[in-house]
Amino acid sequence: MKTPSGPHDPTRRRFVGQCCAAVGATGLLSALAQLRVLGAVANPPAGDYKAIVCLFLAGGNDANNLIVPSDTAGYNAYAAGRGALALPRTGLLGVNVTANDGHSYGLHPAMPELQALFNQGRSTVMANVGTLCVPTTKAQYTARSVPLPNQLFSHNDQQVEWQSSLPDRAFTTGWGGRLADLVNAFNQNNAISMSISLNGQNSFQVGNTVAQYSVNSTGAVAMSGTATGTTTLAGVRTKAQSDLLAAQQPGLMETAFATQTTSAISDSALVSGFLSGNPTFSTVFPTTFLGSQLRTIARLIAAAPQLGLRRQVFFARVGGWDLHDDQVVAGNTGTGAHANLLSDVSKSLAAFYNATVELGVGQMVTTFTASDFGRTFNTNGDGSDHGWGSHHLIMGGALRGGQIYGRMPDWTINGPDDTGRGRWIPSTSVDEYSATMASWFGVSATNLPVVLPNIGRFANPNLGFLG
Amino acid sequence: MRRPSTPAIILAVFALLAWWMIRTRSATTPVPPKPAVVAPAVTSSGPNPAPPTAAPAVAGVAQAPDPERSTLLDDLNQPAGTIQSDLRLVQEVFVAWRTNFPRDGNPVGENADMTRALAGANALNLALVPRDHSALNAAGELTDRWGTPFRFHQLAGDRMEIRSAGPDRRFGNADDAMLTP
Repeated sequence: MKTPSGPHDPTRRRFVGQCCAAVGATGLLSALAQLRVLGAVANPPAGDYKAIVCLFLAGGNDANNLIVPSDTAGYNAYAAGRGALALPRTGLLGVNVTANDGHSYGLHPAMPELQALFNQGRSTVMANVGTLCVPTTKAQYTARSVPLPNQLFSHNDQQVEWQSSLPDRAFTTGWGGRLADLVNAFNQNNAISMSISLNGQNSFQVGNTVAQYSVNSTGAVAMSGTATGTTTLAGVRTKAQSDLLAAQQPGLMETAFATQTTSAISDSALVSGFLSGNPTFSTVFPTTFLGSQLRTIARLIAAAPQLGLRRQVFFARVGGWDLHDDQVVAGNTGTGAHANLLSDVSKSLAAFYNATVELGVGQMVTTFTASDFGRTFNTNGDGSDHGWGSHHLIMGGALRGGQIYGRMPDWTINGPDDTGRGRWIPSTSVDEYSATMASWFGVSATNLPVVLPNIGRFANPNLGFLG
Repeated sequence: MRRPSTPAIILAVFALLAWWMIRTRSATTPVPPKPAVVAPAVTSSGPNPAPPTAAPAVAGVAQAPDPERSTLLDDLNQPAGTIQSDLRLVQEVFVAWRTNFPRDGNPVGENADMTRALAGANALNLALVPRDHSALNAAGELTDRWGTPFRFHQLAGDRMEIRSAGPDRRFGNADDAMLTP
């Protein structure tokens, strides 16, 4: 018999030994991963609760008209670049915020509710944030000397990149999902997922271990045609389905399907139970799609103690922002399609903040907006086209308000921040914006790269807007 | 008849082997890779295309003669066609682009940026849009049959919606034409 002469010579004994070592290593890695999680969530204080709400403005919000310079020099630069889309200076809603560029600012005239929150320090703006692979200057963009996000200006790609915060690679998980994976150990009960979507499946909440759970704006999504008891056809069908799902399945696929379906049915029943009664707050929400989504989120936050959840991540979405045409009414630019959308956001967000205050969790809930991209600063005639960097709203009791965070672009078309037509090169990355919220949520500096793998490329892992 | 001697046989075998090796080497000499241009080259049966000076050049693209002129857009904006057939032709250009750049996806930017890429400013120097095409305006944009630049709406890396402002040359009203893949 040939004697093994080297490490690559297989023998049965060596093979079995290597298999055992591999299994042992897997266990060790798993234990290390658990230790990392424990490190991230060590010793949560009693009564500790936090929730993050992502409001996605699908289609690309024109935030150039969300917040507008109101001093003479700033407004003149704004009006010169915006052309037919410029809001009248007299209609701007002044806000008491400082900005590092020396300008004063006003909100779109359709947002008086948010103006009040700005002036209370409960809402502000993160200026010119967007997808970046690395910090990028105009010279680098022009020379293509640094990597740029894949498929800039493309709806689907930029939506995914905003939600994954990984613009230089194929999608696998969202940053909300990775965040949930890391901090789920905070939660005392996993009967209901800590990741809840109010608008269907999304990239933001895709994680490796924590699955997103979708409800609609009126409550849990129940399986239709079901009933209890066995005296009706629906009841018999429900019982038969239940028996089928409970039966031992022959394959992994069938077993996984049965487990997920059973879990979804039980989650639905549990959530329906919490949402069936009257809400525990009296705040009135707008009856819009967005208002209904945020109202349901407020109710799920109210149910968090009963669900045993100390951390929750929510996702809401409202579309209609891709306004290439008819963005404003000619001659009355403070009105029109964009104004209607901003008005809904203002009313719905203010109601949501008031509900969290009423529930006693105003300090514990942070809401932020995200969108595909900003829009061109100049107009195509009566609308705007796909841009890049954009300004985003942050809201909550933990906010250090009273100032605009980040750096507003130079509003000059073809100026130092413009890639053409006022498509601003972001001065803050989605990574930095997201990392600030992840840190507030309880992720340690050591574990921040688990949630935002590219954060090490950027200067500010914590922008300081949350206390 | 005498049988050939052993040295003669060996010499003949070597000669045959040498001939075979030379032949094989010349057959496997690498040739520069050529992009997978979808459109066939135009034959010279028709009239010569307009000289390069007749239509504006796309900014940033060197004025080299086209050895293989793409025919994908030959029927674009022709009287026999319609705006719908035009949109399909332009869509075919994007499909051809993605065939050649499957990992990159659609070109990005404004109409002029994309047209520049489609006209050859790309890693393969692949000109799917001839640089002297009559549908190119002075800004290097690809225009519809009424002279308005098409609006390329980037839905995704593999989906490009193409819009025409229609006869009134204004976007956002009933006479617009659109092709959504």
